[in-house]
Amino acid sequence: MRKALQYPWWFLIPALALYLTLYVYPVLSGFYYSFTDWNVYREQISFVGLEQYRSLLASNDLVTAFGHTLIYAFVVTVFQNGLGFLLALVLNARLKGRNLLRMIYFFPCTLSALVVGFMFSAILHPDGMVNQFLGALNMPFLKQEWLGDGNINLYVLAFINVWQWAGFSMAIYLAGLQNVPKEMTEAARIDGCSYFQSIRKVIFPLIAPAFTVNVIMTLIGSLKTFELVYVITGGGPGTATEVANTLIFKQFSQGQYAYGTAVSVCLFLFIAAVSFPILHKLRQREVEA
Amino acid sequence: MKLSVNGVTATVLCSTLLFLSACGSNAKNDSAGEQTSPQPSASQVASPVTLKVLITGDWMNETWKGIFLDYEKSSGNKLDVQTLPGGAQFEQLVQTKIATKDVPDILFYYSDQGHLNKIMPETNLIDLSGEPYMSRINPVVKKYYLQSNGKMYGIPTSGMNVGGVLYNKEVFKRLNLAVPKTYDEFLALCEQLKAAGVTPLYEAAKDAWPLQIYTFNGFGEIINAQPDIIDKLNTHQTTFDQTEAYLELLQRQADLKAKGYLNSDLFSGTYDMSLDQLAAGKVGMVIQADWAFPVIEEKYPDAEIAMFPQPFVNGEAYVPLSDPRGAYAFKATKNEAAAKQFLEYLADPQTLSVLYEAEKSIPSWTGVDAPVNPGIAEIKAIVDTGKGIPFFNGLLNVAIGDTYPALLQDLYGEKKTPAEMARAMQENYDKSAKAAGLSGW
Repeated sequence: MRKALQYPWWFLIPALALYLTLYVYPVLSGFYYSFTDWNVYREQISFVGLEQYRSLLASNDLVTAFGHTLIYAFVVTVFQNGLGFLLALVLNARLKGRNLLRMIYFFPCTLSALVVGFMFSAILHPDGMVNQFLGALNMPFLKQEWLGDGNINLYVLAFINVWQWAGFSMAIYLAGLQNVPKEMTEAARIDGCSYFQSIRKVIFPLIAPAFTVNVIMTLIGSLKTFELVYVITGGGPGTATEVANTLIFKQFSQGQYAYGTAVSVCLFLFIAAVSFPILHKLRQREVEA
Repeated sequence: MKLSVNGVTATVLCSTLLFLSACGSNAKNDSAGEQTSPQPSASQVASPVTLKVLITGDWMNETWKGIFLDYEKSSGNKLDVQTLPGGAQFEQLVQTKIATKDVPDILFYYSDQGHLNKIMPETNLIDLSGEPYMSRINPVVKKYYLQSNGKMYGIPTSGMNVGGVLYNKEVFKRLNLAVPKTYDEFLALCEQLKAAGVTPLYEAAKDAWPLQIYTFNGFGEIINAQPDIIDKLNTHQTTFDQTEAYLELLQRQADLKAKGYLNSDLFSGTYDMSLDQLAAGKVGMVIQADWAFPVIEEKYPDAEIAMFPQPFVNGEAYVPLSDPRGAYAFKATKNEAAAKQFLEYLADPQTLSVLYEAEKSIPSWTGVDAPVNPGIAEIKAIVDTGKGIPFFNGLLNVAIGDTYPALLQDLYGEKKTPAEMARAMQENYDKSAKAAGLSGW
């Protein structure tokens, strides 16, 4: 006889009530407000249909911000996962001081974005550590205005993000690696597999779940990036590093609430459109492996 | 019952969280509208009340604390002063508080049209037009600020800041340079500084807001030549990108970078660094306003910094005056008499002399005899002859400060030409004007 622990259905009500009022209702209201003319000047809000979306598409804001967001997310996802996986491989081997190293690499993601932002603003200043280092190496031609040059600062921001969160990806990959049965890797080794081949053919397919989790989390997280960009460049200079969330923040600061809400609805649809297909593809891959 | 470590920890954590959140909300609720016991000294009010005052921490200083204490002593009322964070957050918090009807009795806030319109003065604020102290307010302030639709809603609570060009006197003396009186002399001066190896101008393009001061300084020339330009812009009869003189002004600003007169770390430059470099003599001039003087006095007391007005292209320079800070009383207050009395106290000549002695800025009231910063003595003389014009952004019905600095960054970064920049500026202006429901859009 199966003895399953059954609770009465109305035990669900408190948690469900909290969830509905504090999460579902605001999100749905957000959808509603994007169809109104809500701004700081109004006492009464009226329904205006697709007006906000029309003006959003007419201006350049959406294309600029979402384009930057996509580039940022792509760079972060690729490099953070790559670096995280590399670190996990290295720190999975039997090294002396392995635990200390794991702690050191994980440490940056415990820092607040504000701290990281101010730190890198100083390091990447034209007279800061990086440029001085390049000068000392007798390579002054490599010196750049890392955060001021509109052509490269978006990528610099992406790398700062990678620096901060690679340890987190590393931790998830480590967990995945530790679930790889030793017999598999040993068998591959006996069969004459080189190290790199074993990674590609044996290990990588077996950590597919960790890979899925990491890629999706990094992707969605970096599509929603805000703090790092806002603290380091503020979306500037001009609109060179404007990302979706800094655009929304600026719209709300100007009192254009409905417009900002419309942008966030667009961001929601954008993230869904980008991540669902990738999630589906990765899940399929998991099943195959 | 066996107490598990996890269970105890969880309970302790939960109760700590609940306790802290309760504390947080109580701290805000506990003093609104409390009755206090009468003060031992003679009080002028029959039953003392507590006035809730909202101000930003950026504006609070020892002088104001003293003024608030003096008021409490002399009137017997209590002031519950709440300080909010400054900058854009201050604006947002005030707007949110008003929207949620959590209004104070007295609010210290900006006085220009753009900011005032956002807090809907006609609905929310007490009309002070008929008060006796209104006649003592500086005519420039009375003409342009603290009002909506012709009615006065606030009193000035700071001096007017004046925009111009800060310069290092020692550098000028060393290189035998004279203060320029025309724009051509100004450009020649930049060349001489550049030839001598001193960076002529430092613009803080990372902070972005200092970039606005150049056009604030120069727009006065446009207002002088076309007195109705502001009205036309406010009613959509003309636009920024149709105003030739404005495009020329923007071009002159872009030329400063093109001619190599600006600092090499332009896009990493901050306001603090601009003052630092000026005081050290590495930079000859910084286009700023006199709010920098208290900072310079405190951090670089040995530096000799003064200010000259940014020259006009044609004719004598008029000096741009910024909007003073204001104090307003809310209609929703339960203590209207006390609130009005507090504003009268702030308008009292004695309070004003205390304030201006500490501030050393150009007074927003007439008849105040207080010393000013030595650096602006020359400029004050110009203001006293009537050659003062407001910063143009304070005259617009819609605030441009949110988007203007970023556009100037693009101008310096050569991402936008002056025409494109003015077009983008007008688009932002149109959007806000439509949202505000201004006539003409």
